[in-house]
Amino acid sequence: MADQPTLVIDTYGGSAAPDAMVAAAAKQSLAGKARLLLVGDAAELQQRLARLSYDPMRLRIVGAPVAYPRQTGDGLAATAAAEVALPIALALLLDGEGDALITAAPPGVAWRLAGEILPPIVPGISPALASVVPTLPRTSGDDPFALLLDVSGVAGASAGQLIGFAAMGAAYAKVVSGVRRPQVALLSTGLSLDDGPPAVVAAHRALKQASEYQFVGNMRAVDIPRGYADVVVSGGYTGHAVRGLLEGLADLTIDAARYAWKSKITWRAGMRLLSPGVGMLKRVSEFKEYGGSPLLGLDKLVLVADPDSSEAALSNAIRLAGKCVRRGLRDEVARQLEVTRSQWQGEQA
Amino acid sequence: MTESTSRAADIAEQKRSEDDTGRPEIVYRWDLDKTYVQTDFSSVRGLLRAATESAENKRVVPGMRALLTGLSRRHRARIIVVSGSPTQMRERIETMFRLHGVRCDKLVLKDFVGRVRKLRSVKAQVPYKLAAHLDTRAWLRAQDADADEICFGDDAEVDALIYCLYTDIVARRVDATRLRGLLDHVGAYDDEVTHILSSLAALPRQDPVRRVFIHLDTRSPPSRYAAYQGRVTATFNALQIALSLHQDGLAGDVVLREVAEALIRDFRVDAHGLAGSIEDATRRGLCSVATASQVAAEILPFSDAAQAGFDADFADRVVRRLRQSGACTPPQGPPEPLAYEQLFDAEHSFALTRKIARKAAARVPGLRDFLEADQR
Repeated sequence: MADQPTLVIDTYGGSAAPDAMVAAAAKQSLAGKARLLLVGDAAELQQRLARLSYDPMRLRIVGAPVAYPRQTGDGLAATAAAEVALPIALALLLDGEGDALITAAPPGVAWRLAGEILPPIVPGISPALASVVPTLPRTSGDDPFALLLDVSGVAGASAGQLIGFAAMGAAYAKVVSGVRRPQVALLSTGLSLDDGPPAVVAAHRALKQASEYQFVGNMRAVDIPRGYADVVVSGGYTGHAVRGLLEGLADLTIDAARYAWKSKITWRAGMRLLSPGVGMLKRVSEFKEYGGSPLLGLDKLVLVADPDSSEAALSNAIRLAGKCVRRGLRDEVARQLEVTRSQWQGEQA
Repeated sequence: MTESTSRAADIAEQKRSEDDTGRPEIVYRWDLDKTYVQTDFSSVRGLLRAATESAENKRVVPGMRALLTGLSRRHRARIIVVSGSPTQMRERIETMFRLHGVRCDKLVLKDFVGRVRKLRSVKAQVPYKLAAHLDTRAWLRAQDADADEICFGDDAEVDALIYCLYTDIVARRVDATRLRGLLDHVGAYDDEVTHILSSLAALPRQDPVRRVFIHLDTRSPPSRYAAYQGRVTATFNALQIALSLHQDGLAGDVVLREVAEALIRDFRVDAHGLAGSIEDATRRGLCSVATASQVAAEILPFSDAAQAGFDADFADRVVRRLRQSGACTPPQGPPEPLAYEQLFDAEHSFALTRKIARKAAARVPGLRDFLEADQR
């Protein structure tokens, strides 16, 4: 068990808290690939664990003095619990007891508290919340998802921040997706250098000098699912809106397929014939089950799962966090940022 | 004197004190497969391996060798092993115990050849083990050793039910009429019923079983044993058993230390694994916070666990967390006879459900499951 990552898990976040997170953690403790520290009400957690299969050698509980929200979907109570529990979980990372944190707390709260408590990976760097998006097959690798960042909802990214996001996204694509030389694009209104707001234009000029990854220029939102890039860089507000739209479209597509399946027996028979193609729809729906949005740019990895995540999605989040730590994502992000910074400074000089 | 020789002398002294014959006699009643030896009965390959592997190659459940060796070191402890393995394996099992330094006072194995015409009896565990437990209790009486018993089993079969039933019939909480009905319910043959009833009649009314440990080898949820009304102690590993025995005064510091060291040395368990086991044992009421804290602060940092990261600083953090999370108290009270028929049926359906679930988990969820789901 030596050399395994230690993952801190906040059990308060999510509409099914703490059951979905506890069930996911119990399952992953049996997989034996990471040590898990569950932060939560110890008595309640133990009560739930007793009904599950788990391995106490890989799953420990760190008590937190706050009760779980009694009503599902009580946003105010969820935020109040996160305000108490997340600092405890983040302190474990700060003290070196954990390598990464998985939370399903409201993303805005997680983003703010993590930014306040954890130091940046490189001084002066703004953190970015990244999200995977499904694409058509890309030439660079087998990963069915591209990375879109920043999706934090924070408006007004500067050119410097966009360049940092590109470096962090490229590091993630290299380490997690295994893409040797990731293709990075800037989300903009048009394909030419001058399209888009001033920060995007300035970032475009600087990114052309990137040597560690292949900058493929601007990309319109319509091209994201076409798989023209492994990493799509945008400001937090735009990225948030784009991700939301993609999620809505995915839900709509799946609902349509289910409607067809249930409505008529002839449609059902037709869909059986089309089953390999319908399998593609399944993949589209799975992007929400990917695991979580990595918050990049901080000294330790924070993985923010969707508050409506199922047990399967949270299980994936725990596995993803373990993979990120084992493959050295933190060090690669730091290296990539240093390289980018020295190139940027050299160009300005 | 160097640090290592000083420590060796210290351990030798402690071992001597644990060998003290002044303590009351105690009987440790063990199952073998999945409790002490790692056996895979779920595949043909596993069965073949169990039947053919040599004594040297038998794989032991992590930490159990150190635990049983430590327990058998006491002169006034008797070790009885009742196993469903065939009698043909006697020599190999005895050799294994010898190699492990375990003193086995009585080894009972199943005579499959004698049961070849009774197909139900080949597979059935309840009549065979109940008879074996009663016979070995009679053997103990003949040895003038009417001692208390600690029983060890696992969650793969119905060990918990058998041990509780054994306890209740010896204590006459379950009378002969009800026992006969129960044995009919589990499919015992008439001669088995007769044998069990006559063995029981030869024993005086006693209440010898102090604790039943069930090792969660197949990772059953601990709540599976809630129906046993606190009479079964479910444990995930040997360290949790050692902690519970330590609290009851049956395992000294040396046994605990040896179990922890065996887990570290032979099974790559680290400080987090030890701490997790101790914390879990405390939360589930296997031992008190005081006992767990003493083990964490005063025993493990001065053993090989320190090299695995369980040093004084780590121990401080563990003790702090133990005090924060508190402990639960397992249900106490005079033992009542359990609803054995229902328990047997529940255990049977649990095993069946688990088998189906394992098969289902092996196949990839199909498109139909996906499309028919109302909510993702």
